[in-house]
Amino acid sequence: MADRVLSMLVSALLTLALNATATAAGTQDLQPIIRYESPYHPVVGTRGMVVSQKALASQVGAEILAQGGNAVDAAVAVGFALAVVLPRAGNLGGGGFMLVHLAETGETVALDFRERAPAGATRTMFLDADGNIDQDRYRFSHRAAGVPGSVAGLLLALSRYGTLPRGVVLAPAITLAEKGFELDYDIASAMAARRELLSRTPASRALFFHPDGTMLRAGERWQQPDLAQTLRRIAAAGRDGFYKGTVARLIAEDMAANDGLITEADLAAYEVATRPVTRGRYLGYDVHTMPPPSSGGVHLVQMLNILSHFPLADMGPRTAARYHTLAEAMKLAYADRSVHLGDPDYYAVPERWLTSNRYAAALAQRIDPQRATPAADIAPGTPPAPDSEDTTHYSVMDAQGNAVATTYTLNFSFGNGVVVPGAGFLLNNEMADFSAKPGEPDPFGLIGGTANAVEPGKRPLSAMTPTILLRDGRPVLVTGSPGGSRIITTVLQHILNVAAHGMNPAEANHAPRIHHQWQPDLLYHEPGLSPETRAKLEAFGHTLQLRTSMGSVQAIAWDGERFYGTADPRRPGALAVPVMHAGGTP
Amino acid sequence: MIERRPLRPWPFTAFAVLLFMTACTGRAPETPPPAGEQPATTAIVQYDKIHHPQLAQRGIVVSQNARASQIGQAILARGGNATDAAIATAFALAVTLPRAGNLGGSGFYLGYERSRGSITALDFRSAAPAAFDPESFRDADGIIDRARFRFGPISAGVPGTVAGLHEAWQRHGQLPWAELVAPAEQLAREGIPVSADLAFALNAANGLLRQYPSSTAAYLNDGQPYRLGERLQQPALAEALRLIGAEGSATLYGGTLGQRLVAAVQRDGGVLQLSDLTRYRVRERDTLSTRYRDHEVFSMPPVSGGGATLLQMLNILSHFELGTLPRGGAEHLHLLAEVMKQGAASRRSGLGDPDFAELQLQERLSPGAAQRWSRLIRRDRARAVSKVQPLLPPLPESRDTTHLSVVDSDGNAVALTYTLGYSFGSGYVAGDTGILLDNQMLNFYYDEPTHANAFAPGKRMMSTMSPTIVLDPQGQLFLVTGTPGGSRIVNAVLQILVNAIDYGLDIASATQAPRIHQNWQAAPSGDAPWQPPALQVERTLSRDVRKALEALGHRVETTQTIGSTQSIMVRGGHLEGAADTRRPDARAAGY
Repeated sequence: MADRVLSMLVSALLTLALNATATAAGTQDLQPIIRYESPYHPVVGTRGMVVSQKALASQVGAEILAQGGNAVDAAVAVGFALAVVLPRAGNLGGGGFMLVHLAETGETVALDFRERAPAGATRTMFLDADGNIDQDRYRFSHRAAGVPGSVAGLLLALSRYGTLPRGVVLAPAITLAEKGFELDYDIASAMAARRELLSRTPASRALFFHPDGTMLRAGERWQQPDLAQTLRRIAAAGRDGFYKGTVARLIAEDMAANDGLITEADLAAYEVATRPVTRGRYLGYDVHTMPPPSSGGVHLVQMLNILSHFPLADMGPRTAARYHTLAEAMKLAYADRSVHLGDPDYYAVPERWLTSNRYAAALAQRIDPQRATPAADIAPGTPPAPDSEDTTHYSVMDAQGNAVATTYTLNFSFGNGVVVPGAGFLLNNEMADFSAKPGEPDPFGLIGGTANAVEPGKRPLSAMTPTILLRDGRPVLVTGSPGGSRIITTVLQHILNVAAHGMNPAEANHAPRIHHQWQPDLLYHEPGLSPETRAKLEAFGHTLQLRTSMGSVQAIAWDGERFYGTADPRRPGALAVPVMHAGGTP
Repeated sequence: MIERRPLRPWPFTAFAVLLFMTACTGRAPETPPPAGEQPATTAIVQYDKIHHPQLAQRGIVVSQNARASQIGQAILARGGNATDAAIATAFALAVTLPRAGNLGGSGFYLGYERSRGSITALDFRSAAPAAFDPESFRDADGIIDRARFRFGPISAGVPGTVAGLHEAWQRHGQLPWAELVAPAEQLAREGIPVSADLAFALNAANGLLRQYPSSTAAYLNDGQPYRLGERLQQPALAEALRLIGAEGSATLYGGTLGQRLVAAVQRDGGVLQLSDLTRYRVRERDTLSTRYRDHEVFSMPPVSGGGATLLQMLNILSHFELGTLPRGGAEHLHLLAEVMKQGAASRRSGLGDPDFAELQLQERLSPGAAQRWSRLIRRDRARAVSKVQPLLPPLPESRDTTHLSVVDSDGNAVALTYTLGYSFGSGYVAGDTGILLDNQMLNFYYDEPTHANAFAPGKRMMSTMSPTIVLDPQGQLFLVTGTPGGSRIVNAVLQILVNAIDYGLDIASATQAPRIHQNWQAAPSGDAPWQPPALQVERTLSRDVRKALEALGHRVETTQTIGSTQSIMVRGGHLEGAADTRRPDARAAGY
C-alpha cells in the first residue's frame, strides 16, 4: 500500500512536460520520469547534462558546464576528450556531424565535418588490375583515409557558438593525454580485438603495445604524449595547428611514404559545411536531424512518416506486430537509400520527395500487417558484406536549453589502424564509405549507387544521425548513436519508444532493438525478444537472425526544468553526468 | 550478549536433500549469438548483449547506493575483507538510503569463508519488546487493530542491525571497527547530495515523517521536503555513529546511546525498555542448503521464511528440464508461476522464530515433498490458486528493504539483507539519537495463536529476506545475491538463480530479464470479495508472452518492478557485479 501511495504522489509531482497529446495514431502520455513501474531510470540533473560513451569524457563536459560554459563549449571539450579516452572512435583524424540547437534564436544548424576525398582520389582507386575491389586497400590502407574534418568542425562550432577560450576547452583532453588514464576492460578488449591491425605500423605499435610486444591491458595507465603535443598545437594555433604546419606535414609525409593520397594542400583546403537541418514531424514533435551527406536524417524522417500511419502504441512496444511494422518500413527506406543518397554538393538528392508525407502514405499502403514483403519484391538487390560498429555519439544540454548532438567517427574500429608518426592519432578509413564499384555492396552490405562514387573533394555517404526532437520550439530529446548502417534504425527505435510508446528515455534505450536493411532479407534482432514474439515474426514470413547488440544511444530529455540523461548499457563505460544547481555533480 | 552455537555448515536437512535428490538436468545455456566478424581475442567484453556486468579483478561491492558501494570498495582496497566491506557499506546505507538502510532495523548476514569452505548465517532480526501488549489494541469487535501500531514508536521492534554488524565483525572482521563506521559518520556529518531517487522517497514519506518532530528535524529541510541536488546533513545520526564507532554495539545495547533511545521512545509513547536492548542477542543459525543442478545453494533459515521457500521451489523445479524451455517465453514463466504458487502458500504456514516454535523444515525440504508438489503442476494449465492450500490471512510486506553483496580478493563473500519494514520504517526517529526505528511489530500473526509466527514477547517476527550464496559444481563460489521486495524477494532471487544456472546468463542479463511474481493470496480490500492473486509481470514482458500466459489460464497483471537484486557472479576468473536498474542509484563498485 505504501508503494501505491508513493507512486500516486510521484505521478502528481513529476509529470514530464514533454507529454505527447493523443493523436489519431493513438499515442499515450509519457510517464513521469522516476517511477518504479519502469526498470530503467534516467539520470536527473537541474543545470545541464552530458552523456557520452566514456565516463571520463562526460565528466569533462559536465565540468565545462559547471564552470559556466555553454553546451557547445562542453560538446567541443567532450569531442577532444573522446579522442583521448575512446581511441577506437573518438578522434582527431576522422570526421562527423554536429547538430546545434540555439535556445536564443530557436534555430538548429547542422555542421558537416565529414572527411573529404583527397584531390588525387579517383573513381577506380580501389579496384585491382582485374577490376575487382582490393578489400585491404579499400579498408585498411593509407589510401582508405579521407581528409580529416573533426578538428575543423569542433573548432568552428566553438568559435561560432561557444563562449570559452580554445585553451580552456582543450585543457582537459591535453591533461588526459599527458597524465594518462586507467584503461578499462572495454577499451582493452577493443584494442585486443584489433591487435593485428594495430601492429601494422611502428607508430601504431608504439602507441598500443609495450616495448616487449605485449598489448596494453585493462587497469594500466595509458599516456599519449604525442597526442598531447598535437592537442597543444591545436590549442595554440587553432585549426592551423592541425591543417597547416607540423601536424599537416607529418600526415602528408606519412601518406607520401605509404601510397596514401592526402597532401598538405588537401589539408589546408578542408572546409566544414554548414547545412540546413532535415526536418520532419512525428506525433506532434518536430524532428530536426542530419541532412545529406548523411542518409540518416532523410530516412529517419521517411520511416517516421510511414510509421505514423500505424497504431504502434496500441500494438505494444515489444510485440511481433510492432516489430513487423517497423521491419517493413525499414526495408522500404533502405531500398531507397541504396539509390538516392550521396554528397549533396555533387548529387541532387531528392530529399524533399523522400521526406514527403505523400510518398510515405504511398509506401505505407504497401505494408501488409500479417505478411513480410520479400526484399526482392521491393527492388532488385544483391547480397551482403560484414558490418562495423564503431562510431560514437554524445549529447549535451545546458541550463539555457542549448542542445548539441554530435556523432563522429573513424569509420571502422580504430579506423585504418594507421597512427600518424609523431602526431599520436589514428586516421580514418572513411573512403570505404564511398562505393568502390558503384552497384556493388560496400563493406556494410549496403549498395551504393553512382551518387556515392568516389570524386575528389567529395564527402562519402554516412548513416550518422544526430537528432533533436522539439516540442513547441523547445528541445525535448537529444539523441544519436553509432552502429554503421544500423544507426538510423537505432535512432528510430529510441525515438519511437519515447514518442509513441511513452517510455522514459532510459527505458527507451534499454529496450531490445531490431534492424532490417532490405538487403540481405534478414530481420536482425538483439537478445531479449520473447520466444512468442520471434515465433510470430517467423510466421509473418521474416527470417530472424540474432546479432550483436545494436548501437550505443547517448541521449538527453528535457522538460524545461530538469534534464534526464541516459547512457546506453550496450557499451560498458558510457555515462550520463548531470550538472546540479548547487554546483558540482553528485 | 552474543549467543554462540557450534558451526554446522551442513545441517541435517540439507544433507538429506543432498543425498536423496534425483539426478538433475545439466545447464542448457542459450545458443550464443554469432560473434562479430572481428571476434575479440579476449572474450571479456563482447557486444553480444544489451547489458553488461561490472567487471572486477580483486574485489567488488554491489549495493543499492553508489556512494555506499564505493565506501565498501575503499575498505576492500585498504585490505579489509568481505565482512569489513559489508559492514562499512551497511553503515553508509543507513545514511545514504535512509528508507531502508538502518541502525534501528534488522536483518540477516550470510558469510562465505573460503579458507574453511563454510557459510555462516547471522540472524539479527528485530524482536518483540517485552512490554508490547497486543491486547491493548483489541477493538470493539474483538479484533486486534493493526492500524494502531502500524507507525510510530509503538510499531518498533527491538533493533538488531548494530548488534548484527558488530557480531559479524567480531567473528570475521579484519580492520579496526572504528574504521568501518567512520566513512558513514563523515557522510552523515558533511551531508550528501539529494539524488532524484532520495528526493522521491523523502517526498513520498513526507506525510509520515512530519508527524514526529524528531523525524521532521532529521528528514525535512526547514519543514519542506528536500529537493534534488540539495544537501542532506544528519548530525544526530553522525553522533550516533560516532558513539558506535568508539564504543561498539555496547553503546546501543545498554550504554549511552541505548539509554537515550529508550528514554525518547518511552516519552513518545513506545514500550521499548532498556532491558529489551540488553537482552537482545544475535543468533547464529544453521544455514539451509540444497543442491540444484549440481550447484549448492545456501540461503537464510528461519526466522526467514524466504530461504526455506526458495530452496523448496528449487527442489520442485529440479523435477523439470527448465533450461530446455525457451527463455522468457510462456512455458518457462508458466512453470515458474506454478512453482511460486506452491512456495508462497507454504511460506505462510509453519514458519516463524525457531526459538519459539517447532518448524517442520525437514519435511518441507525433503525430496519426497518436492516430488509430490512437482506432480501437482500441469504444463498446459494454470492451477487455481484456491486449490493450492488452505488460506491464511496475509501479512503486509514492504518492498523497502535493501540488499548488498560483497566478494573480496581472498574469495570470501557476504550477502546481507536488512530492513526497516516499510519505507522509513515506523517513520519515527528516536529523539536526538538520529536513529529511525522499524515497524516490524506488524509482521506477527495476532489472531492465530498457534501459528509459528504468532506474537510472543521477545520473539522474532518472520521475514522473507533471503540473502543467498551459490557454489558451483566444483565447490567454488559462483553467485552472491539477494533483494528487497517483501513477498517478492523469494521469487526475484529464484529468477536470478534460474537465469544464471538453467539459462547460463551473465549476471547483468540475469538481472535485467523481465520478472514475474505469483503470490498465493491477495490482500483483502475491505468487504470486497476475495480475489485470487493475479500473475504479476513487469511491463517489459512482451504482450505476446502475456497473451500466451493468459491462454494457459493465468490472470496477468502489469505491476511495479519486482525486487532490486544486488548480485555478484564469479566467472572465468573475474568478479562480475550487477546492480539492479529497477531502483536508481544502485551501483557495483569493484577494483
